[in-house]
Amino acid sequence: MRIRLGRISLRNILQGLGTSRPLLITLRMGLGLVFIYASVDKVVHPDQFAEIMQDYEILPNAVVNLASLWLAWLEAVLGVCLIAGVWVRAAALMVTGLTVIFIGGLSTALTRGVGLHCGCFSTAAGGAARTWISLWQEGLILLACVWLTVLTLNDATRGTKGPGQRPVVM
Amino acid sequence: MKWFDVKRMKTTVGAILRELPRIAAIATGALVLAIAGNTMHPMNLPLLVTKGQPGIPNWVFERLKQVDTQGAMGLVNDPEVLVIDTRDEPDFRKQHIPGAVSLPYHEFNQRYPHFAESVSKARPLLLYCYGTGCGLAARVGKRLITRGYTDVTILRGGIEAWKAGNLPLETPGGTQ
Repeated sequence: MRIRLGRISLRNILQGLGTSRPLLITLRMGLGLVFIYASVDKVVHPDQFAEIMQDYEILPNAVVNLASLWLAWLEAVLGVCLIAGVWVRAAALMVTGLTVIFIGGLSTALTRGVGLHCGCFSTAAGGAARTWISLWQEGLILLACVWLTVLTLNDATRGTKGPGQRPVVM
Repeated sequence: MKWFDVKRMKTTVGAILRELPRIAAIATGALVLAIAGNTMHPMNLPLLVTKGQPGIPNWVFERLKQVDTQGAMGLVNDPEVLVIDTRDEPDFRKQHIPGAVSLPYHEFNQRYPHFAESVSKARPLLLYCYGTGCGLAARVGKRLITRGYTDVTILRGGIEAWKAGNLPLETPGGTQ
């Protein structure tokens, strides 16, 4: 497939977006902040986040507390890794995986007709359930996560090749 | 443009596999932080839920009294006891235990300030929700205990158990 706009081809655009260092840093910082912001309320109110996780009806009740505590802190740690630039490739893979799991959880809730509070950014139980909106929100975050993962993996496969090509991530 | 390149795919998979030790380290680090953070948190949730339900700390669960419908009858007839329906408001309007007031779990934060103004912390409270699998009464009970209410009781089996016992219900048409 070849699409050209004057001297600019789709291939060049994709290659540029797939290797752009400023884009990688922007995505790292943006997603890092999003994950830290999302973790704060869960770390402060672990009991309320456990209630929300119970409402998803995915995990057995016995392990819901442990899973909710771990998830809250995992989001915080991943956010810090992304912002600090430490183990970015691993963190990018993990935030992508986590977002896929969140979307899976929300989707199964929708298909089962369970109206629940996402618990994505807040543990407050007030107001109407907004499962569809949460799903869109998570979809956009997944897009950013996948793009970050592609950038970091491109960097991994490219960084070992050419002389003078410094890898952008650790 | 070549969309699928086997060699490139292998390199990418290799790069992902090389990240596995770091992924394991991040996951373990988060688990250690979660357990340490939980022990320092005032809620101190049990890591494995063996009694009660998720999100309810053991120290709260031990203070939540439970009664069956027979025990609840005595409490409902006691004017000192405030009966609280924790279900959603439309369900409360359809039918509820006579004399009950509505304090839905999903509207707790909005309604609590008014509730706190009108109900003293020492007043005995009887909470109920939909049925056996419903944890809303325990969740509201936890919120009330952590805000200083001292005498909180939950009706086991909720309004389903109450109805199964052919006990009176208040509906828009009157008490049945």
